[in-house]
Amino acid sequence: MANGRRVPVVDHDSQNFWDHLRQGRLSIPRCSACGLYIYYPRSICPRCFSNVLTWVELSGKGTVYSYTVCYRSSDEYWATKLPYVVALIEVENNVRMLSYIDVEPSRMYIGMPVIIRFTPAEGTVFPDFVPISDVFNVE
Amino acid sequence: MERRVAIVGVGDVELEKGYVVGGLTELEIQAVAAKRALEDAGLTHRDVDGLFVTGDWGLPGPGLMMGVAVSDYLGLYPRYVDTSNIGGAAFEAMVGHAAAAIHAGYCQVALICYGSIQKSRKSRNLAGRPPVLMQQFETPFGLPSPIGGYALAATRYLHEFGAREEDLAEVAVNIRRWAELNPQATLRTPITVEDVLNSPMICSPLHLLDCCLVTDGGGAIVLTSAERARDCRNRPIWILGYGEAYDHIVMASMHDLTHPPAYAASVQAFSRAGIRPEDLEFAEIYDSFTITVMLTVEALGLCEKGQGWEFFHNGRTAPGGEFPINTNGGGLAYAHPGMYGIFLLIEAARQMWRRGGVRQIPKASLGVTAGTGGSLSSSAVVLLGVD
Ligand SMILES: [Zn+2]
Repeated sequence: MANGRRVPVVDHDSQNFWDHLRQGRLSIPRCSACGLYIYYPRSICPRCFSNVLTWVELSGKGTVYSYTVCYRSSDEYWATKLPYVVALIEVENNVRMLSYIDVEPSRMYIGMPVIIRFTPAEGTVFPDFVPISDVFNVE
Repeated sequence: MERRVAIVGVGDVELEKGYVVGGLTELEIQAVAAKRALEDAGLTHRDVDGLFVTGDWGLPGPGLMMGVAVSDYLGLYPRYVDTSNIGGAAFEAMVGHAAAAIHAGYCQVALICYGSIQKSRKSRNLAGRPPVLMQQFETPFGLPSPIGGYALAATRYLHEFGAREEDLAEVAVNIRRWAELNPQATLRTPITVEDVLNSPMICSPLHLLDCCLVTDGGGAIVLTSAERARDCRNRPIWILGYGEAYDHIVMASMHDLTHPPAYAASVQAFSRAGIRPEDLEFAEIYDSFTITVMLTVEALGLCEKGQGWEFFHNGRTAPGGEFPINTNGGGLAYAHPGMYGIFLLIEAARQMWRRGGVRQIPKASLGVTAGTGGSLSSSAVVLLGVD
């Protein structure tokens, strides 16, 4: 699998997350005690330290909090994509995700509405994002 | 903490075009630097009873027990060892840890040392960390590490405060002017804002000349108690105040990209020292990237939050400017072996001992060193003073 995208080393904390993505769902743990939505997925609430968590589904809509356009990479896969955009995305419920946005870099701006795109590759599904205007006819 | 513990000796190794001269190993570099630092202090390795060391050599292997490995190699028998790896800020943190240990009587003479041959080994790359544990939520999305994290902070900073890439470039221009005065610096040719903007974009808004070097290097620092310092060769450089703080390891966990942990570290350091930011005469600030320095001058209280982009205009921090920053040329132009923090302390000490040569600053009796580790992940701030 030369030039393939690096795949997550799935573990007990992250198994549900990646399994649900393969089913076309974005889900993360939510604290049953204080209500915090927790990303990245983990076994304890970093706010109240409760370990009673429930997996909940997110819509996958968000806005760009910050981004960078990458012009260099020593990763074999990303080196074929240059230049490409990596962003921090505010998803609903104060969840912030880091992801790849499949977009022409010159279109990028902070506040851009984006939506998840389930990208199958390397036997898993990556939660990438695209501008929402590429999916729906609105901006 | 005030005037109880002091830096009494420093040492480093020569570099040529960023390579350590003579093909030395990481251990050899540390031996050279430690010998020089101890001779500088007027002490011997038999006096050392505290060892503070970190790095990324010998892994897997003896680097896993770095404190023991360095003790063995140097023939030390410490009774206090600290190998805290918090990224490049580790050496500022170790000054705080060593000061606490000396003050508590757990050791009397502390040796901090570091060596790296990352350039000779060609071990540095932008591929990102292995996609395990929390890093599986970052690496598969192509974020180059660590520059990508700093680039995200820089984009947000420019957006929030109306700053431009030109303002970031000013940081590099000022620091390069110090490197012109340092014969040991890797890059000594003057640069302009246009040069920075015309250098290749790596991760927007950071161009090549917004980024630190990749070099070899090594250094050592000796600290001791006020009592022992009386018998040392150099005037004691007092550890007046100290603070450390931690935030995130992956960028999605950093709540406010323009509020690094340097704020919390700085508050602790100033309150322990009982001095104010406006009392400082110079600063040695971790310059992994231009944005790091801009965020840190704000965090240290050298200016208001959101005004750091103006701080570097008109050569204000360059030679002859009103507030010198990074007087050896910094990680941007002097050297950056991966964990730069020890060189902030070495340069501050040299300035305070007035050994700066042509780059000696007029006032160097009260200064700050501010280390940053990871991707704005950790911070340690040390306030230094001479009587
Ligand atoms: Zn909770």
